[in-house]
Amino acid sequence: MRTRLLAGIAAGALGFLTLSAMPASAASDAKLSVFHGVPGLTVDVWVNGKRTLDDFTPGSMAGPLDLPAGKYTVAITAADAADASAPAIGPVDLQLESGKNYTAVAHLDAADKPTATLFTNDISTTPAGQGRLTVRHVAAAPGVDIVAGGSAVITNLTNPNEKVLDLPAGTVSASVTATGTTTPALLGPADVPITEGTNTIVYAWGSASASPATLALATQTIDGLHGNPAGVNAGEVGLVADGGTPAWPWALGALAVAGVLGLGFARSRATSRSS
Amino acid sequence: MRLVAPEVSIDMPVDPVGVEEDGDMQIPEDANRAGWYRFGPAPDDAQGATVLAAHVDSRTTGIGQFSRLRNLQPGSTVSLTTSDGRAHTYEVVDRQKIPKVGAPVAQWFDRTGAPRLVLVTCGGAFRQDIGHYVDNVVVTARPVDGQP
Repeated sequence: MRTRLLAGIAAGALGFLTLSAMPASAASDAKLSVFHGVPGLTVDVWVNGKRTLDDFTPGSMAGPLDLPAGKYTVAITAADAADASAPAIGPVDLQLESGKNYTAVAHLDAADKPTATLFTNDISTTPAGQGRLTVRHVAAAPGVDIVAGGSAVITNLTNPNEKVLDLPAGTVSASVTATGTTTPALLGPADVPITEGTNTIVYAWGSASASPATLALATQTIDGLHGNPAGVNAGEVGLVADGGTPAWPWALGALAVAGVLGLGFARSRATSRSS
Repeated sequence: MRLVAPEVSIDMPVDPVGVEEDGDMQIPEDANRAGWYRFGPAPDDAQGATVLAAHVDSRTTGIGQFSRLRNLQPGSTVSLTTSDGRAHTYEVVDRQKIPKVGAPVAQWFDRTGAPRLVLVTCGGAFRQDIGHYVDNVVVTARPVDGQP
């Protein structure tokens, strides 16, 4: 009963039943999401010894949860383990700082072995008109390139690393290829929306060496990062400028400058004459 | 979208716009069209400022309708008809001429707080050397009660 109930909640990205009972939503809290990127393995996620995500399935994203800053010990076990004493991954200690935004990812390393990585999500303000694209390589696969518009925009991204780009808002059609190549696509092409003021985080996860390969893409978004335009320059000619037609102040200024120069010239002549 | 301010004979189409490469808000080159900052709030949003801007004058079309923003008095009615055909009516509550240097841009483009309409153009003296006016003229209007 409990299992089925919690599985439904985890799939709905509103997990963390146990932890949500803790004080939350303080401005200084950290935000933590969890992504499960280990193919074929349904797991339970234990935080500080408590079962927090039950029957968490591959490809699922949970959170974000507001957590007080501090150290959290995370262990990942086979589904419905009695406790966290025999983890499949971990235990790992996650040090969460206040005001920061994290995603903990359970995934395969480049050699097909389960592991976990804590990523810090870039939630700095995006320039007006732009969105952020973060690409994370958490798949059992060699280095990859991200190809968009026929050329590599990210080269030799390796497990477990990420690349972050700020791009004009729009849609990018992107493929994942073995590094140094533009075809064939290991994944995609997929249309990736670059949404203004949003960090779109794309995970390449699974395994290239499994038969059949289990490579897949998953996406997480963090919005509300908008920057403002620098200003509003909404006039070009000066036809309605204060103080009459705009040529006048400049003509007067030029006359004044000429007058000063002339005076200076007269003075220097006077000086040279007296010497 | 269409913006109408009958007291100052403004009646102009409104285009969705973004930002220029230098980070300034995009403005339609035609001074008889206004731009709506499409990355910010819209009239139907529960919070924040819907920002419209238009050239006070343009190299190609001369003096624009927003040259009359400086005469738009508090209490005047402004109507913005969205692309779905619905008219949103506002009442002018504030008009300011503000130097561009240090202008409260974050306040104009604010995504929070009560829904409002912010109309921006240029004013003040014109600097030939940089090709810009030195001030912004900014009108703030609030939705008339009973309007969405």
